[in-house]
Amino acid sequence: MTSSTTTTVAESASLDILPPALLGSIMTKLDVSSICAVASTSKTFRTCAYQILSFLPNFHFIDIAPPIHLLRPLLPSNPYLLSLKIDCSRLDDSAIDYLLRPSLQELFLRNCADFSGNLLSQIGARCKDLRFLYLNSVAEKRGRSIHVSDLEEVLSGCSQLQSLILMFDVSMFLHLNFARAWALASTNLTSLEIGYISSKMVTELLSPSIVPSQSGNQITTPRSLPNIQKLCLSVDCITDTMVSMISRNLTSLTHLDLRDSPIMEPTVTLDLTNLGLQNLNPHGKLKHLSLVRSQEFIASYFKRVNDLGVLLMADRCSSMESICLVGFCRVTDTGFRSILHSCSNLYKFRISRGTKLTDLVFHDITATSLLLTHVSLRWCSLLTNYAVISLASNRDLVVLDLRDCRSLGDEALRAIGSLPRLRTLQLDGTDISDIGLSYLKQVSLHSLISLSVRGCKRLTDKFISLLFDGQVSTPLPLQELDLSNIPSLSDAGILLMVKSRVLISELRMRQCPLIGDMSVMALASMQAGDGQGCGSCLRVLDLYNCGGITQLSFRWLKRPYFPRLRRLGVTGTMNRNMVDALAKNRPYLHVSCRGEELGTDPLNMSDELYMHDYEEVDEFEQWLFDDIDREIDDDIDDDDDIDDGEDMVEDDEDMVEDEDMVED
Amino acid sequence: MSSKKMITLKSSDGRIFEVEEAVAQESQTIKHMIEDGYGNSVIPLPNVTGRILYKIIEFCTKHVAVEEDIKQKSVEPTVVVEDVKQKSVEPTVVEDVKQKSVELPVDDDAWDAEPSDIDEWDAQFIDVDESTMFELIVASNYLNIKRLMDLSAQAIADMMKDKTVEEIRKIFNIQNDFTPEEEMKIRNENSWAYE
Repeated sequence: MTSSTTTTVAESASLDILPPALLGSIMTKLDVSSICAVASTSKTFRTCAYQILSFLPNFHFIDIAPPIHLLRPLLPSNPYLLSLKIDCSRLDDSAIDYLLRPSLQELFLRNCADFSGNLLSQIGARCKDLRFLYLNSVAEKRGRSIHVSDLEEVLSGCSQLQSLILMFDVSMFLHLNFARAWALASTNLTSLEIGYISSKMVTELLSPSIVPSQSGNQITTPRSLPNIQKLCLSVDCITDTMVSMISRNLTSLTHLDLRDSPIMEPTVTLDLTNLGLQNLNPHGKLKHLSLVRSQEFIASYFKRVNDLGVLLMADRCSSMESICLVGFCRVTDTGFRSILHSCSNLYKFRISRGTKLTDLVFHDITATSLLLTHVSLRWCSLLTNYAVISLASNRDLVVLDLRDCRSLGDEALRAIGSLPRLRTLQLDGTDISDIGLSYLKQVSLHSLISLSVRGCKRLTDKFISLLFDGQVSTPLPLQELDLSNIPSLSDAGILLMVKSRVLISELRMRQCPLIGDMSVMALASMQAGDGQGCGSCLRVLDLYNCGGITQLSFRWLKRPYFPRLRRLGVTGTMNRNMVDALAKNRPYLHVSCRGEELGTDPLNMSDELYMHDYEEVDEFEQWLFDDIDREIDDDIDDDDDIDDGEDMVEDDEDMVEDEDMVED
Repeated sequence: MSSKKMITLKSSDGRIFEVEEAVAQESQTIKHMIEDGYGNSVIPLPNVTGRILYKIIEFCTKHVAVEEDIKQKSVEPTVVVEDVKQKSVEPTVVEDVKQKSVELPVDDDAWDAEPSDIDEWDAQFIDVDESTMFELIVASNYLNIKRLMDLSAQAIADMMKDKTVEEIRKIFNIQNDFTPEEEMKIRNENSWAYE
């Protein structure tokens, strides 16, 4: 089509001239969807591809969710298959024969909602050599069930298992049977992650206590999971008992990740206190610690942990490399500073909802020898530009997350703009303006891959021209852009962005009232000069609740436009039949019409990055939230809260009734 | 070190190249020729043009130099062995390595493997137009230089990744030799690859 030499090859050279063995060695380096695409080009490649499929060691097919008829020809008998990754949304138990092979060492199955527990027992029976297993959403569809015997079979069958990730709810199993099942697990198991489990089950699972058997005699169970190094659990409520049990019994633990989402305010006996923190890391091996209290159901915090607990913990954790503390509203600068100064190997520092965190924490960060690379300070509203300027002395920063730090402005961006290795920058809900973003142009923009400015109300179309104009010569690495909730962003801005030929693969423009059909048309049809339209590299496009989207846009969302689009967000309520027609036209496009966030990389299991709980907060609600912060401050004045448990529960229940807070 | 022996290579278009023996032996084909006794005369390479041979020699020279550096800088191996023996209770080093090999395939820390200098050099080396790349892979296949074959195969694979069928045909100049019926059938099977 174009005559530029970078895309077409000289007349004489064509890939066909290579001998088949060479073609094979090239194609084995591709993922399965690319192999299929290449196979469809010509006969030579087709035969080559089908030969490869019979000895390919890695079968990774995660681009779409294949139905069984598509999958069957792609999975011939292959005794060399080592690693299998598939999205099983359209598969069920009948696919087990094709998926499970005895040679497998890595198995990664997402969205197994239509499978029954049989999947687990079959894995135990057939894949004896398995080292790594990831299962997500097993048997979540109505009518499917898992039994604890299935769990027993997979644990006892896969005796070489090193890493196990079960992202589904195991809390429905009977505690006794569940604990016994884990005794069958292989001693090679070093990494365990469970989607949801109750803290009581964890405690029972790990305690080497005497268990009454059914015959009335007492039997001692051997210690379960002795060699675990990495433990990631999502529980109902993090308690001191559970944390102490974990710390005491798992002697090789280097990586601990605990997350909870209480449905009611935890009482004093069932919560994490300073005591629990003190008991952490008795063997001094912990390198990564993450304690997260998510506000999925109620606004809850680790109210019983203060500076003392954190200080004592920091003393013990001098080899810590990564720390993530979410919901520690009572810890002040003293506590956070002690972490920065005691842990000299720290490179990931993530604090969220640190309502008392101020600039003082980073005031003398240059005195430490820290080389921070990932910093996340979300919902730390007391932070100002000064803190960011101090932070920017860490020149190795790669990920910087300053979402919802409302006091940050353009001066902070001036400091950020000089970071040479920055790849991810999130400034949602901050007080930046167009000029501020233009500071990124100096240095950071040339390494930045993901930029998010969701909800930055002062931004207008101008920042796009300030940022992207004049960049045509060297292509920017920017791939992900989140421009949601910006009231002044209009079609003109998107047109500017498309003209500047930035090759975005994920674009989110949720709830922008001025974005309309023009933007969709611009994204779909602009050609970027080297034969690829800008629309052709978009994989994720979120237009939920955009003011100007009408039926016209849907015509531009059909084929052949947006050839790589895999996830689309639109408002489905108004355009139901258009959405259905689109789904028929593009069966492998995932359309979200009810406003759900479009996940990014479906394999990214750390959901922290996109855990948005965004509803438009008006001034009244904001006043209510500030009220909660004030409540928390008032609690500080109370004594060491042992008797306050009851009072606090009552107060918070009132608070929950008053607000209209909806957390996604 | 003894004086380095020079090997003479002749490309298809008659150009003569003199290289050190160590560099020439990066190519298994040439290595076998030397072992068979042809090392003292000019080795003809009728399948490789001068331009490509020049690039290949550049590649091999660089990698031989890097390996020399590594050999000289390597820590005393004997001490490491003894440490492992004594620390039989806590062989942390060995186990760390094992753990890494089965690391979760999608760690969000995947970024932190900073490319080493030689990887960057390789990336720049292979950043050439398609026809040169094809000639490189054919030549490295003929000369049996594994590292260069892998590098060029990976580069070509990267160019093929994530492209629709039409785009691949265009970039690599592939002729569509399917009949219309076959084309229809394939399109139906792999409809998502054409999107």
